[in-house]
Amino acid sequence: MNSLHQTKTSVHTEKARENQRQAAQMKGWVALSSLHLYAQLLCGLCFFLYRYVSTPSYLSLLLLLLPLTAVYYACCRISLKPLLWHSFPGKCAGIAFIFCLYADAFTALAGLSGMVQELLPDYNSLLMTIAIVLCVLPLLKRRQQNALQNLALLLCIPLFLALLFVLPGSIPQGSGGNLFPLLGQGGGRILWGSLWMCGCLSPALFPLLAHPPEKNGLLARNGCLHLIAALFFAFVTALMAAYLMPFYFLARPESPGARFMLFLDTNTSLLAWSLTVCGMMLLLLVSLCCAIEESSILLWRITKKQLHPLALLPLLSLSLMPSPIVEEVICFLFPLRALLMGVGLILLSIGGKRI
Amino acid sequence: MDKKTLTGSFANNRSLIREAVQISKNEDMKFREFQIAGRAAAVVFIDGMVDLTRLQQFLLTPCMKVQKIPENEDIAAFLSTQVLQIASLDHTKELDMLLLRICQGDAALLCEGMQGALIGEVKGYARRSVGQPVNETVVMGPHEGFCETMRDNVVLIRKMMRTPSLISEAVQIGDQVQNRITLMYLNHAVQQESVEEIKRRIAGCRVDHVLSLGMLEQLLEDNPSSLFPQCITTERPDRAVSFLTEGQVLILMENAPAVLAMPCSLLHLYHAPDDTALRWQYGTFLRLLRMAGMLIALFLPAVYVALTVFHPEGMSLSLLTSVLESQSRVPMSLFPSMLLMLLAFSLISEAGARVPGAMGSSLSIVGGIILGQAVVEADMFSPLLIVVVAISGIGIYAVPTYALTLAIRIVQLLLVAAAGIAGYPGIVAGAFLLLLSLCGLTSLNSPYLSPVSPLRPFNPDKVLRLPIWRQRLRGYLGNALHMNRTPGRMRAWDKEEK
Repeated sequence: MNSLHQTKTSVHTEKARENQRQAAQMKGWVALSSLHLYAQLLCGLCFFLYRYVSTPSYLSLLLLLLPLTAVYYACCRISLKPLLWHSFPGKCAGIAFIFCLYADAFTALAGLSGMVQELLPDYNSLLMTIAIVLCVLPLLKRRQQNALQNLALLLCIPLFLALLFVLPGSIPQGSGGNLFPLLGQGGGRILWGSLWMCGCLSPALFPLLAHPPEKNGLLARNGCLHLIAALFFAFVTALMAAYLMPFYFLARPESPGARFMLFLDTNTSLLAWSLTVCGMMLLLLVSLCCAIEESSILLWRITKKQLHPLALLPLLSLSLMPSPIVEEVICFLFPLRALLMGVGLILLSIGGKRI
Repeated sequence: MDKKTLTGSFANNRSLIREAVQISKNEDMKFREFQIAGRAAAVVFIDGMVDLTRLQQFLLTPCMKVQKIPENEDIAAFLSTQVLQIASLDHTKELDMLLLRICQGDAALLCEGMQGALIGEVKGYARRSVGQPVNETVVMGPHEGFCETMRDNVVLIRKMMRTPSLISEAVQIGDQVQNRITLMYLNHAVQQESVEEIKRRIAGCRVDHVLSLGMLEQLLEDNPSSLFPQCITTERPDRAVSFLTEGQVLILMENAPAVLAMPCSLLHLYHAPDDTALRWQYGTFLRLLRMAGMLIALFLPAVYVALTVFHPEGMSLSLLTSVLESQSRVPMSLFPSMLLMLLAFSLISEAGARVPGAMGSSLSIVGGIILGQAVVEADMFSPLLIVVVAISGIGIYAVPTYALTLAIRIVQLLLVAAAGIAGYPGIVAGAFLLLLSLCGLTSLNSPYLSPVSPLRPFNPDKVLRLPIWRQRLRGYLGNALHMNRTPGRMRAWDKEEK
């Protein structure tokens, strides 16, 4: 409705003002969801796709667009109905989504923990994980409502600009040949990768389902844009990873933390290095908090109860597991998450009431 | 508690007031008795608080000249309409009100047979005249500043904004010792909910006495545990008027040489008073400089510690060599050195604010030469560290609001501590929690980071100071019905304007 640089407004009534505020809140959700989606796609690339080969990853993401369009369309249709979260199918869908979101949180935490361990190898991983989880606690306070959405809106553009800023410095380090030879891995691998990445999409759909679009079609417009933006950045990341992939990444298995910090080896600028490290950590932290916040909202929808801080305890199990096992668990959870999301959507389509 | 009231009996009123003001102990409390047409009368005032010449000329002398009070006529009405030559005159029967007005510098007139008392405004206490603002100096713009007398401050604002839409409402605060507060707002521009909310909060304050504006601010703000100020204070009438046009409410208090404006956003705190007076290109340039200064002040020391202690791999070889070489001669490690240096800098700054003017140069010598030069020569701190602290210190001074500079100093120390404990992850966690707390903060229920996040319609005068003629909106803080400041183009004469 109103751009940041406007000089006139159509807000002349209290009702119009209220509509504008709701629209602004929705934009906050959309921004948060975009960051979350990008972080999850990044995790998907680093935990799963880069582990085998880098080249199919961006092709997998391209192929992801088709199922994504179908799922997005289905969600738009479902969200046009008032969703009965308190009905039995609604509750089951809510629980399925909460599991998905916890998987998101686990993945973001694993990525962040991996990065921190890479940066601070001498530190105890348990303490570091506890410290990261503690960052989520302020969100569970009632007073901080909407803080995360506002934060996402604030961070969205500078974060992406910072990531884009890093790329020009890295490009001279890569080789165009890296983009092609590995196609020999076969179409099956690419197709599997794209289907597998569907598991990362749950956060993208959340604003559609938790905050149904209003009559002015506000969410439908913004929602589509945020999906495209997040996918574009994920595609650029995957493409650059393939382009810049050093040979030793293929020669030996690297830790997830090292895969996250792939760009750091190629850019020697202090500013670029700092921006990359801080930007990625911030992105994963926002993703972790977003997953917890969304779980909290879903729990409120289905049980009218607040999320208790003890609900964060399962995330700490991450620090107790050895790193290779964490990776295996995540690789197992991703497809399961996609499955749960599908089940949730079907249940919601049953539980909702057509207007 | 029952409210005591004045009656028509002079003797009764006399004993009531003398007891209430403790006339035997209060040396400066005066109870001057005389007669009005043969009736016992008295005037009550505090010596030094009233203008004695006005009191004698317009109250005592006319009263003493009255020969006869007409029968069956209300004495209070007779005195106020035909005798007393004072512009502002009130009648009250409430003892509390009478005492309050006397304490505020007015004089009360009692007379046998008169129900209650007449209160004449004859204030004449010592006051500071309007001078230049001390903490908000400008290169361009007016040089008048608020003083400690609230009435003068109201006049200064009214003088700049001559419209009947400007409302000034009086309220009181303080349970035992009441202090006068005036709320000022533009009736058509303000959001009425804001005014009501401020009144509700003031009425809900249970405090014996409010001494200063800072104390009032802490009693009224949304989240008193936050590091960041949620009201904006100014000692400049022109700035106060600009807040009024934005739809904000001004809070003026007796004995405060500044006013509070609510609600406000973080961006208001980073604006300087003369931004609007300068050409838009200069204003924008200065604001960008200020923003850079704020970011440097917040992050530069923490990043320096994180890079040197935890992530030397992030630095180029030449920079790393330079840093290590300068650090190698220093016995103390970098993290405590940085904390110590920042604390020393804050100490110098605080001492500079308190030191008498004549000793300011001595302090500069101590700070600049002894702490700067000597510690480097003695190899106590590395020269690079001094440079980092100095640059971040200059960045802090670029922030125009004092309360915000203090907040930035504390956050700077916390970020350095986080960087010293966990390097970049520590900085990221600290920055995340800081931003999260800012995003969740409100000022009078209005989001603190608006209009940027969440988005709100506004005139383009926030981070950038775009041209005046583009600022057609009043912004999100004001009344939705009067959000446009102008019906069309501001430069209506310029047909070429897009």
